[in-house]
Amino acid sequence: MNNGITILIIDDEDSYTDALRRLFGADGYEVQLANNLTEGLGKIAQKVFDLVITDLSLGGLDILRAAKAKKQETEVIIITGYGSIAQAVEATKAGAFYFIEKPFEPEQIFLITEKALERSRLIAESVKLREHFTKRQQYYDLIGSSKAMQTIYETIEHIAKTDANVLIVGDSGTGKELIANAIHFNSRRSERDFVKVNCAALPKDLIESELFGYVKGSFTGAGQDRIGLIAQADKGSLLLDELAEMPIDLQPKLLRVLEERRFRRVGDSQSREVDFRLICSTNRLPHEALQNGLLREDLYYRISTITINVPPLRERGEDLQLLIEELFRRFCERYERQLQGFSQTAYQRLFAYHWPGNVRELQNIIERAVLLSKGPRIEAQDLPMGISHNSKYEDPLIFIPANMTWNEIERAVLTTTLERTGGNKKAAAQLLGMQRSRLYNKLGKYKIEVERQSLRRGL
Amino acid sequence: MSKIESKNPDPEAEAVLSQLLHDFKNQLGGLKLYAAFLRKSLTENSLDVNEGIEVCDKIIHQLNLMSERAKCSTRLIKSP
Repeated sequence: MNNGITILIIDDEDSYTDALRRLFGADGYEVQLANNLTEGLGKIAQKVFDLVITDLSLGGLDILRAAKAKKQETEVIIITGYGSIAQAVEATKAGAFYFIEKPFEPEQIFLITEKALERSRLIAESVKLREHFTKRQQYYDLIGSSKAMQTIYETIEHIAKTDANVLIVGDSGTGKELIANAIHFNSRRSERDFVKVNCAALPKDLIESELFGYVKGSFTGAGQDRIGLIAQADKGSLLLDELAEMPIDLQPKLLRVLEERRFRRVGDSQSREVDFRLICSTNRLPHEALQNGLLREDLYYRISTITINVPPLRERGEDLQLLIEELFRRFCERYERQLQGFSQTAYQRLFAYHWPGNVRELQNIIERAVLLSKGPRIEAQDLPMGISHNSKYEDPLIFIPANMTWNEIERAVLTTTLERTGGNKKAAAQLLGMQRSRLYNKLGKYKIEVERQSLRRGL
Repeated sequence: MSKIESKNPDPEAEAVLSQLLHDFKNQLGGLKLYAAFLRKSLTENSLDVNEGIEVCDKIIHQLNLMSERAKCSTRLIKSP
């Protein structure tokens, strides 16, 4: 049955509207009727319909525009007693699903209705998918659609609502803080404070008093009581960035807070209750930090209920194009620059670079290039020296022996380029300076199967 | 229409005839839809007796209207 699907029928011929109401009603549709334009527009203003069937002579085109303005996915079928090709063309141009002349066969209107509703459903689904994908591509400022990033998004969605402690591991500039933001702002604590502490930035002798707070007179310079960052994070979240840089002798105190959900200010005799969600991040590999005595094992197990590993940019070739395009768009918008994009050489250099500074470095380079570019496009010379001259792009990447055939050379070039782009065909076509359709033909010709982030070399 | 036009060059009568024909087509469409509803409901054994009677009354009313309009059309065509 068609429960929940709403149809509005607008016609001044009562026998039509009444009979259609009964017919559609018998099939489970929810039907509303209107006898004129004003009544029809009023109903559209009040409610979103899945389908509108309207007489053209009652201002059908106005009805159509109003229905589409209310919800683009609403389909409209125009019926008329005086059909003409010109009217049909106009109605179709305005977005009508079908133009049908009276009198019509009942089966005809049913068939058209089913098809219109099916299209409406498909459009609604595709809009939903597009929204989902866009959200996924730019998840709380995280950009990327690679498998690695999709896994991270899924993990965030899965754990954000819980209070589980999270450890985010990744090189500098990979976006650990953005992940922490996404966790906090998707959590039940999102309305409360998100306190961020960079353990590497705080002097070792100050970190304890900053974290736990202190009471007046507890040490020289403690002129008044001060609440610490842990207390500030009460009912919210606390991010301890670069956790492995926290003094080892302070780590048991943090562990105690996590276990007892209570803390004591420096110089205070009383402990206080606290409730926060802990998110930690580090650019050190945890097992190395443990081995080197930078991180206590008991604390590590306590904070790593969930560990999120963020891959470096050099392992996210598939995302590089998306990042370049999105950052370019953002900076052009921010600095009001009307640039057309990157020259092929500039693009090749960006892809060849190994990105030790990760997304942060890419961001800085794109921002600088957008600001400094003098022409309509960003050229290789607009990029910093390290990228424009000394990149790996200059290195011979493909060995071509003298007896190699042209087809073998072409195949090698295609597979190497696709490996470099992490299987991203659009980026590979751009790097090779060819149309995507041509690339697809070549892949078919050489039976190269491409999978995102992995490449199978076929037969 | 061409036959009617040739016999009756009066533009006023032509406009009335055209409207009658339009109404006739409309009512015919409504009747078809009512018939389709009755057929569907009877086939699916889902017809409520009261609703069936109500629909039959509407069909009779429509047929009466159409009959009136047919008479009116005949008079117009026959008029000199």
